Amino acid sequence: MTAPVARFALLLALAIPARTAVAESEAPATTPATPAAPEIPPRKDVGPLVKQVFETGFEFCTNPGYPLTRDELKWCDLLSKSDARCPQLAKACTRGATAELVGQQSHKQTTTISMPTAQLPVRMLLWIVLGVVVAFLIYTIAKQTLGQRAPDREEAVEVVTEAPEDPALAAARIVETDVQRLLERARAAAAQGDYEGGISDAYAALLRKLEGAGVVTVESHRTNGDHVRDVARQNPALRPRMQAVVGNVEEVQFGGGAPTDSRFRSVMLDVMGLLSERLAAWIPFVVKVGLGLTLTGLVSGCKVDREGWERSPTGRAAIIDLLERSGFTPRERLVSLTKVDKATSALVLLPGAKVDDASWKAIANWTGDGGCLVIAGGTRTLPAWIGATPSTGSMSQLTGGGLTVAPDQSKRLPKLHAVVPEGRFVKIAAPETSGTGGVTGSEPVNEAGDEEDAPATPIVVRDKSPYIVERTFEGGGRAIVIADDRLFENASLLVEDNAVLLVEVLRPGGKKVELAGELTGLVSQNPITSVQRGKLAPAMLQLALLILIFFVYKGAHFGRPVDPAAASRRAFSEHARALGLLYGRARAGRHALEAYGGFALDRLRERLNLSGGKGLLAVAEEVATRVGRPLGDVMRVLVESRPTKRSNDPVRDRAEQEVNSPKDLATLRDLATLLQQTGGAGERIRSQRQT
Amino acid sequence: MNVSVLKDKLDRIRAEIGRALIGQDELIEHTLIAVLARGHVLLEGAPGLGKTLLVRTLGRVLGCETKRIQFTPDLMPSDVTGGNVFNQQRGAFEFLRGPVFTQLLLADEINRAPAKTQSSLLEAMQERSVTIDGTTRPLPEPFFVIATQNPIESQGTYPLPEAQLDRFLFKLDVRAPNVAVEKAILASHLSGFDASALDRMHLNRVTTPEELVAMQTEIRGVRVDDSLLEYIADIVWRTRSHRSLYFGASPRASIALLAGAQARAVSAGRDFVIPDDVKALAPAAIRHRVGLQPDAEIEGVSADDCVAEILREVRVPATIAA
Repeated sequence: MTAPVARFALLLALAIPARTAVAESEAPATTPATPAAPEIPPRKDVGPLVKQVFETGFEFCTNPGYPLTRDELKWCDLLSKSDARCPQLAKACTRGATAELVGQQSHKQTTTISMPTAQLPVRMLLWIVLGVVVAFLIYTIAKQTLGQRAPDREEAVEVVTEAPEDPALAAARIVETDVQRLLERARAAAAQGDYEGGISDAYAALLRKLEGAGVVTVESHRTNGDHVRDVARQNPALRPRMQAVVGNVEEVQFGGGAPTDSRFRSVMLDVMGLLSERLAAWIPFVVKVGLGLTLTGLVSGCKVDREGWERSPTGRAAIIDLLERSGFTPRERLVSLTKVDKATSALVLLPGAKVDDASWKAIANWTGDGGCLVIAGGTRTLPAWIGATPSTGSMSQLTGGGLTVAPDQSKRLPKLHAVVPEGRFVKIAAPETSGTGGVTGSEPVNEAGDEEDAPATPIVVRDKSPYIVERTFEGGGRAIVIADDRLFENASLLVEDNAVLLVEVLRPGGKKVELAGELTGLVSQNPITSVQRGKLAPAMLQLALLILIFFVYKGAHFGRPVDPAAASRRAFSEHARALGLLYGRARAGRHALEAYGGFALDRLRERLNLSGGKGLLAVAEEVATRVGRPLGDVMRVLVESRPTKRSNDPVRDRAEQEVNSPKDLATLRDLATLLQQTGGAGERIRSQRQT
Repeated sequence: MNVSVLKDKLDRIRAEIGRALIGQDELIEHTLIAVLARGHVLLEGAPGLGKTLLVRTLGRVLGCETKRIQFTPDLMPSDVTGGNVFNQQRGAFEFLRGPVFTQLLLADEINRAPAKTQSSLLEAMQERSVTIDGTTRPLPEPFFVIATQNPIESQGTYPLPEAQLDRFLFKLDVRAPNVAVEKAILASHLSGFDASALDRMHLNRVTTPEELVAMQTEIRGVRVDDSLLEYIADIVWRTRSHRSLYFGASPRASIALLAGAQARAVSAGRDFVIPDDVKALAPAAIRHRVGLQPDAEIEGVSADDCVAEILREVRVPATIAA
């Protein structure tokens, strides 16, 4: 059977009841294929490997005052009093349980992130502060964004073709802003006899420092005098020293003063003195940072885990290290168990791992394909096809009893003696055939469709009670049930042959061991879910607040710095045009024409030297003569521009005005043309410009 | 050049003037700078802010002959310059010197006289001489005009023509004092100070006219770096292309700025000019030499705003900024 066909068969088996699937699997004429055997790590001497593991420096092995939890203390009775691999653990044990572990194990507390208990006004104040900060952030970003206007059209079309810049010039244009580098440069310049450069760099270092402290603003239009005044404003006591530096610098720059060694030393001395000052501007910064940190503490109210749980006696760092050294490739499984596949040869289900029905189905299929499932304790209900389940309680009479290899398992495991605390054991279920359905109604299905799997067999026992039980399937898969997860704790490796037992139990499962714990299945599809699952929202918020405070303090830009947008002023003609537009929209062409008509008639009379007594005809004749247009045409324009009689019906008047508005505007233009042609000021200016 | 001696003398002048004029340190400083730079000053401000008092005090402290012309709408040019009058006893014309023949001329409320009369000062201010009936008569040394005017918006005033304005080295705005200064003025009044009776103040004469001329001469020797000449030229050049300005400042503005910067350097005890000198005096030297566009004027943009904007655009020499 080819791989795709086999996969299809597996999917089909999942989609229909198990019995039906088995029945159908008997009939087809597909060619069965043996699953590929997993790569087995070579057998090694585990003792030296454990020693190497603990040589990496576990704190509980080196610190006699290491705080142990009550749970970890259970290992103490089983440990050797003088173990060279972990010399200080015995001393730590004598101190008793001095810590409480919160963390990943099911029998340990869960990490919680919660708001501190506070009165309503305090909480409201916090939210208000948070809201103001967020609003300020949004405002600042919006302001910066809007401030970066697109260039004007004229600027956009302007094509500037420049010759390639000389690299030396370009390098010279790069402005050094780092205080220490500037000081070093100053010293180097002075050492080479370039005292002018040295003085200039020393002064630049001072300005950059002051700029960083928020005392001065270094901009191309600001003079040294501006800087001195800034310093005096912030810290009047520093003014004389700043003035002294500036005086020396300016004497060299503008006064023709010789840049001598003594002058450089004087400047450098003053600069260093000022640099070492605690500038007043740091105070607001410290206040801001303090506020930020206070907010951080208030908002988070996090409980702090004991550091380095993985490297604690009940952690798993040493286990993973040992497995690596033993030829395994162990890793924590983060991806959901529903996606378990042949890339994993052995899967260890620790108590914290959450396994739902879909996961069990996937695990069943994977086991049927030859996977090795290891169930290390836990209180979950297991599917029937596993054939065994860890006990939920312990047999007190078994406490402290050693673990030995079951008599009929001498081929499976070497002779050993292991010890773990507590007296948990494994219950073996009554033998049942495959396909009876377990918790999920699914079971391992090998590709041959063989139902006859061996029953669960104890391989390690404590007295006569099974501690580790194994069930193998025809497809090469196996399910190993361990009574608890104590073998997967760091401290376990220091006890008797526990390390050998662990390695040997896992070895037939193959190299690629995955440990499924609390984190399994928590891989997020997007960053937001990650933050949500990681309960990092408060931390992220605090980080954002700190960054905001930092940027506000530094005055950093939210984008590429650009010159402030020049306030554009509208030309007078634009105002006139806007006004005309308003008249146009209001259909008030008649009103505009009448107003302009009165003005135009007065100007025409004035220009043509006609007194007010002369009638409209006389004006029209003069205008027609001057501009060379037909008298009737001119007369029509003048007559139409005169005020019309209003009726007593304002609604009708309004309607007429609206209808005639375009015509009135045309007349207005005619009148303006007449005015221009008779020699208005605008006409004179235009003709002057033309000449 | 002994800068410290000059500075010491200027400090004493400032202190003496400060005894009579309270809380106008910048005004006093800029006026002194203008005097040292051989320039004329136009003081603009509301009535009662001490413009006239400043000039009268300055005349006394500098030891200069001081005359005052109260400009009125019916003032004639000859009332300023003087003129030829027929002496019947001698049977010949005699020149009767007008008040312009003095060392410190206070042209009080200069904008109350029409342009014709205002213009009578043109030659005196620029050439330091007066030509009447074809005869040119030099004015005494030192000679400087300090004119005062109320804001243009006041009724019954005649704006000074551009040519006239250009001849003033600085136009200084006299601002109203703050509360603390006003309180100090009241206290001074209570203690017997009377602005109309300066004799009772026993102000010390710090210099003589000859010393003042010598100081003016020495000021010219103050070192000005090439980069600063460029800085000044750039500032003034930009006034000619500023979008809110109808016309920009003339080269006379550049010269005024340069001379003023030299005087300010000495006043600060330096024998070289720094960019701060130029920047500090640019508004005073330029504001009256530029014309605002009508629309800018309507929108409340002032010449000072334009100068400030230009100063923000021009790169200061030897700055470390990118």
